[in-house]
Amino acid sequence: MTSISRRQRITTVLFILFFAILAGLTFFSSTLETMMLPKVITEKIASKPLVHQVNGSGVLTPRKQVELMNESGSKILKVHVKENEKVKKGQKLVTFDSSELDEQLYQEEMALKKQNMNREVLKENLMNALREGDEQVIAKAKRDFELDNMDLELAQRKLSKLRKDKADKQTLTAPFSGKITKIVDEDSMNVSQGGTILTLMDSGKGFEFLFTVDSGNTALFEIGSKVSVRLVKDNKLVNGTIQEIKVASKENREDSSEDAPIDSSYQVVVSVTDDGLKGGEQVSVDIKKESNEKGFVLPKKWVHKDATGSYVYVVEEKKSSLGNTFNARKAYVLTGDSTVDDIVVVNGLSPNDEIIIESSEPLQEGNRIRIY
Amino acid sequence: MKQKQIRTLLLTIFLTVIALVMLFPVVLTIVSSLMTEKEIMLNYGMLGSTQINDFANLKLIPDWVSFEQFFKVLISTSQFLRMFWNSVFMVVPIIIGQVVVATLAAFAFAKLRFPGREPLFIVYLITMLMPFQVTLVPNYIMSDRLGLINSPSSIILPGIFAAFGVFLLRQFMLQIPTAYMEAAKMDGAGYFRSFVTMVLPMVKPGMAALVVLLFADYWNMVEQPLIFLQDAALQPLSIFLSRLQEDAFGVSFAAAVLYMMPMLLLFLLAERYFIEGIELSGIKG
Repeated sequence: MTSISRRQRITTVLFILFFAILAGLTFFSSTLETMMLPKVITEKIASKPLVHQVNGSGVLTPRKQVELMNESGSKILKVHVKENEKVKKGQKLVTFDSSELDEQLYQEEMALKKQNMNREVLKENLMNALREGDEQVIAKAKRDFELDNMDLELAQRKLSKLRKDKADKQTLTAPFSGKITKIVDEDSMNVSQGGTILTLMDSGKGFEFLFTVDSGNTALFEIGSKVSVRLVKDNKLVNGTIQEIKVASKENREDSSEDAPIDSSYQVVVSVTDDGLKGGEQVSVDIKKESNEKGFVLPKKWVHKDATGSYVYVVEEKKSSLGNTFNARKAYVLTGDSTVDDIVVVNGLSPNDEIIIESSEPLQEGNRIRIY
Repeated sequence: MKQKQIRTLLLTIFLTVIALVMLFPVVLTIVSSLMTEKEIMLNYGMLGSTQINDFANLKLIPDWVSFEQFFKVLISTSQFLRMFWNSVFMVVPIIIGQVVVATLAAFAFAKLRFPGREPLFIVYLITMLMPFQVTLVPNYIMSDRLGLINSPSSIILPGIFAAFGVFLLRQFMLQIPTAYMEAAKMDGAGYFRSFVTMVLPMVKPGMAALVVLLFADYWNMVEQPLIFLQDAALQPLSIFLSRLQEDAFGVSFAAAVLYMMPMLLLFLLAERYFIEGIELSGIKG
C-alpha cells in the first residue's frame, strides 16, 4: 500500500511536471524561437544619384621644353641668365668665345685691303695701255682688271659671311619666350660640341601630368573639358584641361590582372597653365560626375549573384495571428551603371524595402530573421 | 509439484518473449530519441523514401547520446508545442464530457426501468459498432450544416456523445447488485442521491478505465482532425507526427517519446483508482 501510494505520488508529480514543463516551453516558445533566429542588420534604401568619382594624382612636368646646345663647341664667355629666369624671344642667353673667328676676319680684311692696293696698280696699267694704244696690251690689261673685280667680289662675300658667322656663333638667343629651367655647368667654360648648356621651357604652353584610370571610367573624361586640379602642397585649385587619353602600357597591369584581365587601363593627360607653377609639383584631380541612370544606389557588396541573376536580401514581414514574423526574401534586381563601390539598381526594389546588409548566419530564401 | 514448476518456467519464458516483443518498439523509440538527427537519417533514412531497397539498421546503442532532437522539437521550433496543446484542449473536454454523459446514461440504462430501454440501448450500441468511416459522411454533412467545420467543436461534440462510455459503464453498473439500490431506496434516497453517493464511487475503476481508454483513443485519432480541421494551426499532435515522416524524419523519435508520455503517465495515475475502486466497491470476491 505504502509503496503503491509513493509510486502514485511520484507519478502524479511527473504528470504535473510534464504538463508544467510543456506549458512553460510553450509560453517561452516565441521568445526562444526568436532568440535562435539569425540576427540581421538592415538599412532602408535611399534614392540618390550614382556619382562616378575618379581620383588621380601626378607630378607636373612642362609641356614643351627645349635643351639648347653648344653647336659649335666654342668656349662660353658668359651666361647672361640665371635658373628660373624668364626670357623673351631673341634675348641673348650665352656669349661664346669668338677669338678664332676674329682672327680669320682680320686676315680676310687685310687681304681685301691688299687687293684694293693691287687694284690701283691694275687700274694704272690699263690707263697706260689705253694711252699707248697697243691693242694687244689693252686687251690684257682689261682682262686683268676684270679678273681682279671677280676676286674682289669673292673676298667681300667671304668677309660678310665671316661677319655673319661671328654674330651667330658668338651669342645664343632664346628661340621662344619662356623660362630657363636648368643651366648645365655654369662655371666650366669648356663645353664639348653638342653638349647641353641650358634648358628652356615654353611657359606659354604650361605644364601637364598624367594618371591612370580603369577603362570603365574613361567615359567620364572628355578631351578638352576643364577640370579642377589641386596642388597638394598648398591646397590651391588651378584650372586644367584634359588633353589626351591614351592606352597605358601593359606592363603596369601585371599585378591587377586578377580583376579583369581584358580591361585595359588608360592614361589621362591633363594640362595646367598657371603663373605660379614651377614644375615638379604634386597635384591631384578629383572628378565627380552623376550617372544618368535613375534607381537606387547600393554598395556593391550588398548585391549577391546566383544562377538566376543579381539579388539583394530584403526583409519581408508576415502578419499572422501567431505574431508578426520577419523573413529574408531574395529580391532579384536589374543593375545598371556602377562605380568601384556602388551600383545602381534600376529595377526590382521598391522605396519601402529594407535591405539586409549583415547577418549573423548565412541566409537563405525564406529564412526567418531577427532584426537587430 | 515439479510438473507445476516446469509449467511456470515455460510460461515465464513464453511471456517474457512476448513482453520483449511488445516492449521492443517502445525501447527502440526511446533509445533512438537520444540519437543525433544525422544518426537517425543514417539508420532509418531509407524508411522515409518511397523506394525501400535497404533494411533499417536497428541500433540500441547511440553513437552519440544527445538531446538534439528534444531541443529541436521543444525549443528551437514551437510547432510541436502548439499542436500538443491543440491535442490537450481537444481530448480533455471530450473525456470530461463523455464521462459525465456516460455515467448518467449508463445509470439510466442499468438501473432505471422505462419503456423502450432495451431497444434504445441496442440502437445506441449500433452506432458504436459501426466503424468511423461509415458515419464519416453524415457526420461531415452535419458538422458542415452546424458550421462546425474547421473548429475543434466538430471533434469534441461527437466525441462527448459517443456510445462507448455508456456501454462500458453500463456493464460496470450492471454488476452492482440491485439490493444496494433497494436498500438505499428504503432509507429514503432518491435516484440522484443513490447515483452520486453510492453508484459513482462504485464505478470509479470503470471511470478510470474509461478515461484511459478515451485518452488513448482520442489522443491517437488521425482521421477526424484530418477531415474536419483543414487549418494546420488547429490540428493535433497525432497529425504532426504523421507529417514528421515526410520532412523532419530526424526528430520523429523524440516527438514520439513526448507524444506517448502523457498517455503513459495517465495510465500509471489511473492505476490507483483501479485498485481503490476494486477495494471499495465490495464487488471483489
